[in-house]
Amino acid sequence: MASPHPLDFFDVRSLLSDEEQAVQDAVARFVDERVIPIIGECFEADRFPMELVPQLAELGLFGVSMEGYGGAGMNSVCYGLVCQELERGDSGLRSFVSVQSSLCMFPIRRYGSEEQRRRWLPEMAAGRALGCFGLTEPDGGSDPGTMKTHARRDGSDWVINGAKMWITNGTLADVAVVWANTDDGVKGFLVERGAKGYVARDIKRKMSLRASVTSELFFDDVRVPEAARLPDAIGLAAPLSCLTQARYGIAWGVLGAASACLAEALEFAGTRVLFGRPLSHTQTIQRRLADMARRLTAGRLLALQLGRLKDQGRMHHSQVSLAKWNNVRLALDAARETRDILGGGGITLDHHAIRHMLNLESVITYEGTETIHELVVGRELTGTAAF
Amino acid sequence: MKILVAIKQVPDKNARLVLDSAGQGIVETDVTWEINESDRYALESALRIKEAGDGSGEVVAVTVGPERARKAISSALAMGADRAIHLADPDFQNGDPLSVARVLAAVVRKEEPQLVLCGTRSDDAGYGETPILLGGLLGWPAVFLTMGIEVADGRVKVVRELEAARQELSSIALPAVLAVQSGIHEVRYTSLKGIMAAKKKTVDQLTPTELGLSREKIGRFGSRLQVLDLAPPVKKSKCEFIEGKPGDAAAALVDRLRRDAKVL
Ligand SMILES: Cc1cc2nc3c(=O)[nH]c(=O)nc-3n(C[C@H](O)[C@H](O)[C@H](O)COP(=O)(O)OP(=O)(O)OC[C@H]3O[C@@H](n4cnc5c(N)ncnc54)[C@H](O)[C@@H]3O)c2cc1C
Repeated sequence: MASPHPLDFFDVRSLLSDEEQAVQDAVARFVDERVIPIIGECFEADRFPMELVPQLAELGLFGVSMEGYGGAGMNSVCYGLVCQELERGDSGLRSFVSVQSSLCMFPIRRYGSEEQRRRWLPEMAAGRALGCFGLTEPDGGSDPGTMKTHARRDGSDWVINGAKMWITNGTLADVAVVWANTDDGVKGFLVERGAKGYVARDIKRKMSLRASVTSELFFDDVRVPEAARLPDAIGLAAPLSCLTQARYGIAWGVLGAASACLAEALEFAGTRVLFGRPLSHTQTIQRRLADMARRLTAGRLLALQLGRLKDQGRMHHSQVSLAKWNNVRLALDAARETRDILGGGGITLDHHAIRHMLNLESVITYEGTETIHELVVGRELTGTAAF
Repeated sequence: MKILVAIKQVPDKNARLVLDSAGQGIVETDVTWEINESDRYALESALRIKEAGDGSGEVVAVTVGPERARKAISSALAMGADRAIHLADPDFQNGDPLSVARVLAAVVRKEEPQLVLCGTRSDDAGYGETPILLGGLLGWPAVFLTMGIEVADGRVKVVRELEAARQELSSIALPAVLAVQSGIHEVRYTSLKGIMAAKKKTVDQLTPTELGLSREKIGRFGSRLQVLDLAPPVKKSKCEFIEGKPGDAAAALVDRLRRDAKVL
């Protein structure tokens, strides 16, 4: 019997269909050839690699599981695998695709009018129009129900006032999906770049997700027509359903970062000779490597079963919470462990671990912090919300 | 123009191969497979010729291989081939280059393409003979190590890679067989839409009878070549330290490279 693959110890890949494997292989090749060679430089220069956007679109990575309107119409497992391979490159690139697909195309497809869908979705699938998703505000992202951004009805228009914070792709976006309180609960609006009173500004000095754009959005009496409102989005449940989609992708994505780190740790430990033997021949290092492999394996099985449930229409949002929590935590721990195993070299961008480690500090916070996901699972177990 | 591309499924370059107990093949259970590298370049070349044409072109991928080779066909269709022919009948399998070329020649006679593209050699057996034998059986010109293809007016201009970085340009009458060298063009990325579209494309299975081939001429019965033994290469790595002053050591190293390694 051949020894198990170090990065896929239980051969979870064999549970994938030929088509799913083909998707993974296609994205893996792109990441190996086009992303990994440049991404360290992008991170260092605090630059999102815009030049990859047309290629991502050509591969069909915007709207992977969207039916029609230029989407690939594939299953959720394929979308998960896309996220996984992209994040093996960098969490910033995966974030870009998550936002475009799950947080912007998804709500326009699900809650938008036919006109909104026709106008935006094919352009977004082709990467010619970019989106951002504005939910979080400066005063407490974990509690979006208390959002202060407000939209007031004025004749046939809406007038939006407020501010959004930590918005991925904010200054890149041609269209912002903006969530605002109204006298009639939370509603979603499509605000276009250049709308009067709408300003986006990048957040600087980030030490994480540096190859991704994060912005603040300001709305000062921004007037949009009723046709810019997402007609079927009613209440906070609508933006939360978008987050469920994106978190699902994150639960898969971080496995890519974790496996990149484990690969780097194995490579280094196998070749670094200290005290007359390779580092990998010591017990403490082997325990740490084994622990990474154990948790990565469990994470892979968790993500795949989550995907199968989603494709059967049986996925509960608390299952996504458990998977996001578990997998981001294992990835962050793997990145920190690898950073340490690499010694001094591990603090430089010559290796991948520190970049993944710093990125994952964002990933564990955004789309619901780890604590919030624990509390979501806790609420499901006890029937009581303890937020 | 109709182009036939012959592809072969071979073990992944990174696969860890284990010899079977008879020592004449590999254990296939844990092997992952892929399309032979130079065959991917052949397919890319075919797709480019088709795309540069008037839109009436067709690219047909053909493979001789067991059921598992279906995955290679799917990859070829996902990359952009219009349809495929899978020669999966057990009688076709385990042939030497000549018996494989006989099968391909029968397919060519049936399909009547103007151009057949193959890779130069397979990454597993590595004979590099099939395309040339195919040209011979068909009575068509066959070109090895093709590094450039340009189709115009019923002829094809072919750049061939020669020794010492030299290239040869020749003009060849169609129909022809070209064995394409890896690196001729950049191979495109397979898109998700391509993968979805592949599911709806036709894959024909043909039997030896349908191709008018008798069992004795093809597969293992038709093979003149018999593999007697397979063995992993013996590792003979030796590390030697050349001592002495830098100048003397360098001179000794140059001498060794010249005399023993014969690389200078
Ligand atoms: C790089 C990046 C990109 C982002 N992109 C987007 C985007 O595109 N769109 C968008 O809308 N948002 C985005 N966000 C925002 C992100 O979702 C929020 O940062 C996140 O929800 C946390 O909100 P907060 O930062 O306001 O922290 P807070 O909500 O203030 O939380 C602070 C701390 O309190 C803890 N906490 C909160 N509630 C409780 C409780 N009841 N009990 C115990 N502890 C609690 C949290 O776990 C956390 O540790 C992004 C964030 C980052 C960092």
